[in-house]
Amino acid sequence: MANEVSQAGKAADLGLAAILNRDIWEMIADKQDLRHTVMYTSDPSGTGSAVVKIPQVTFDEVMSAPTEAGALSNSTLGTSNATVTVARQALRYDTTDLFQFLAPNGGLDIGRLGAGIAMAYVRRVSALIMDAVDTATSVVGTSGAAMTVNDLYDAIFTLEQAEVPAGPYFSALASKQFTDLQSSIRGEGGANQFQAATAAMLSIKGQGFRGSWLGIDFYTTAQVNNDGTDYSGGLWAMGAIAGTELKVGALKQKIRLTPALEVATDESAVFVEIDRTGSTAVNEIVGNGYTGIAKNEDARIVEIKTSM
Amino acid sequence: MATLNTQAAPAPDLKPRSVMTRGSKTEHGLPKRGTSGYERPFDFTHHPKRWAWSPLRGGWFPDLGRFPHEPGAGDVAGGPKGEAILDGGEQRLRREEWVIIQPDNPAVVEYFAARPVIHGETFTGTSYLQEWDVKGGGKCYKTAFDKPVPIGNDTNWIKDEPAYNAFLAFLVKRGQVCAFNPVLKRSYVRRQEDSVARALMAVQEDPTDLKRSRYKAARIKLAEMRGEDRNMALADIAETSGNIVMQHAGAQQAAPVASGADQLAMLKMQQQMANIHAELVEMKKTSATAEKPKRKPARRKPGRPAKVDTDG
Repeated sequence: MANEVSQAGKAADLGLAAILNRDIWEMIADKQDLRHTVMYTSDPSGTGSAVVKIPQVTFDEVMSAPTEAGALSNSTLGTSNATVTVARQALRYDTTDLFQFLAPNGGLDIGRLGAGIAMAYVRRVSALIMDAVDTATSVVGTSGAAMTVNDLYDAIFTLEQAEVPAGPYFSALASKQFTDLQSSIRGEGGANQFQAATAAMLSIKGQGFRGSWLGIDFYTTAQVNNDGTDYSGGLWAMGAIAGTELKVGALKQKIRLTPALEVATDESAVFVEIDRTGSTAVNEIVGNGYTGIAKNEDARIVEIKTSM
Repeated sequence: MATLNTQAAPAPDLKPRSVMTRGSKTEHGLPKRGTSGYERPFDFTHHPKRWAWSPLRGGWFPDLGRFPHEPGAGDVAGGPKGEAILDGGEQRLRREEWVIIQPDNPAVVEYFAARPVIHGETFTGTSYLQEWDVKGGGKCYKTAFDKPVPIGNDTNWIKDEPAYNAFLAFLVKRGQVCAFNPVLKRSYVRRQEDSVARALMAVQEDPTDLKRSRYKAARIKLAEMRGEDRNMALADIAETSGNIVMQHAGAQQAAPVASGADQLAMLKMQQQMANIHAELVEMKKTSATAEKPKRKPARRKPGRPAKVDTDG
C-alpha cells in the first residue's frame, strides 16, 4: 500500500500543526487581594496634597484625686501622626492590530489584558503592605529556623501584651512559612488538638486565604519580603497599616477620558485604557493606579521572621 | 625582529570586539522568575528593638531591615521621571528611631574597599547593594551577599551567611547599628522562657518524641540566649524529660513493675484472663445454638406486597 491520504503524510498540506484550545490557561500567579486588611484613609483627590496625615491621639490618662477645693492643673494630651503618601503605580502591555485581527474569540483580547493589569495592581498593593509589615519593630521567630506554632503564639502574645483591642487579626505569610506552620500544627496537642479549625488548617487549600485559626485569618502571598535567609511575614490587627487610593471618579470630573475609561466605575482604584498609535498599529493597554500604604500604629503589628 | 600580534598581547587596535549576532540586548541577564520583588534599590535599616538571637548567626545579632525605594511605600513619593523621592520615608524612619545605613555610608565603603571574601571570592564592589540585569529588560537589586544561581528559567539565590555575619559584626563594631540594650535581652529571654514553659507543658501532657524534641530545642535556645553552659542545659533537659516520661508511664500503669519475675507473672495472669474470656465466649455461642428458637414467619401488614428482591 502506498500513497494513502494519512494524517502523518498529508498533514502539512491538508491539516493543521496545532489548533488553539478554546480557553487560555492561566498559569499560577499570586491573586490574593490584601486590601481589606488595611485601614483606608480619606481620598486626597482635590486637596492639593499627595500626603494624607492621620491625626493620632492617645487617651491613656488616668484621673488624679485633687483635694476637694484644689485647683486642677492641665494635663498634656499625647498626640502624634502617621502619614500616607500616594504615588503612581502602573503597568503596560502592548498588542498589535494584526494579533488582535487574527486572535480567535475568547483569546487574549484587550479585556483579558486589562484584567491582567488590574491583578497586577492588586499584587502591587500586597507588596506595599508587606513592605509596611517589614518595618514593624516587634519581631518574632528564629532566623534560619522553620516557623512553628510557638512562633505564632509569640506573635499573638506580643499583640495581647501590647493591649491591642479586638481584631480582626490578619496574618500574611509566605507559602513556605505557612507549610512549616502546618507541619508544626500536626504535632499540636492540648486545647487546639480537637478543634475543627485545627484539622481545617491542615487541609490543602489554594493560594490566598488559608483559613481561620486562633482568631486569625491566614493568607499566603508571594509578595512577602525576604532577605535571602528569612521570610518577613506578619500578624497584625486592623489599624496597623493605613492606605489610601485615588478613585477614577474624581479624574472623570476633570479630564475628558478615553472611551475605555468612561465605562469604569467611579470607585475604581485602577483604571485601564487603550492608547492606540495608528502609525505603528500598536495598542498600548495601560493601567494606572494611585495608592500609598504605610504603617499606622507599630504596636498593632508583629513581624514573623522565619526561614526560607 | 618583527612585532607579532599574539593572543596574549594583542595590539590595542586589534582587540576583538564583541559582536552581537543573535538576539537582543534584553536576552541577557538573569531569568525573570526569582527576581520579581527586587526591582528597586533599598537601604539597610536598623531599629534599637530589632536584635535577635539565632544559632545560624551564632548569637545575638542586629536584625537589619530594608528601606525600599518604592514610591507608595512608607511615605516614599514618586518623582516626575519615575524616581523615588525618599525624604518622606526617611523622615518617617528617623522619627521611629530607625538608623538608615546607606550603601555609600563611609564605613560600608571602607569595609568593602578592604576586599572581604564573599562566596569564596574577593569582592570587588564598594557597596552592599548590587544591581543585576534581568532578561526581558529591567533590573534586580540584591545584596552583595546574595549570589544568583540560574537554573532553567528560575533565578535561585544563595546567601553567604558567614560573610553576612562578618558584615554585621563589622557594623556592630563600628557603631553603625543601634546598641544592644540589656533590657531588650531580658525581654527576649523572658519570651523564650515562656516558650520553654509551653513546650514543657506539651511534653507533660503527652511525651511524644516530637514534643520532647521541641522542648529540647526551646530549652537549648534559652540556655544559649542566657549564655549558660550547654551541657548543664542538656543535663536539665534529660532529667526533666526523663521524669515526665516516668510519671506518664506511672500514670498509665497503676503500679510500676518491680522485677522480671513479676513481669512474667503478670503476663501469665493476662494470658489466663484471655483464655478464660475466650472460653466464656465459646460457651455463650454453644448455648445460643442449642436454645435457638424457630424463626417466626415475617409479618406483613395486610394489603402490603411482599418485598421483591430487585437486585436479581
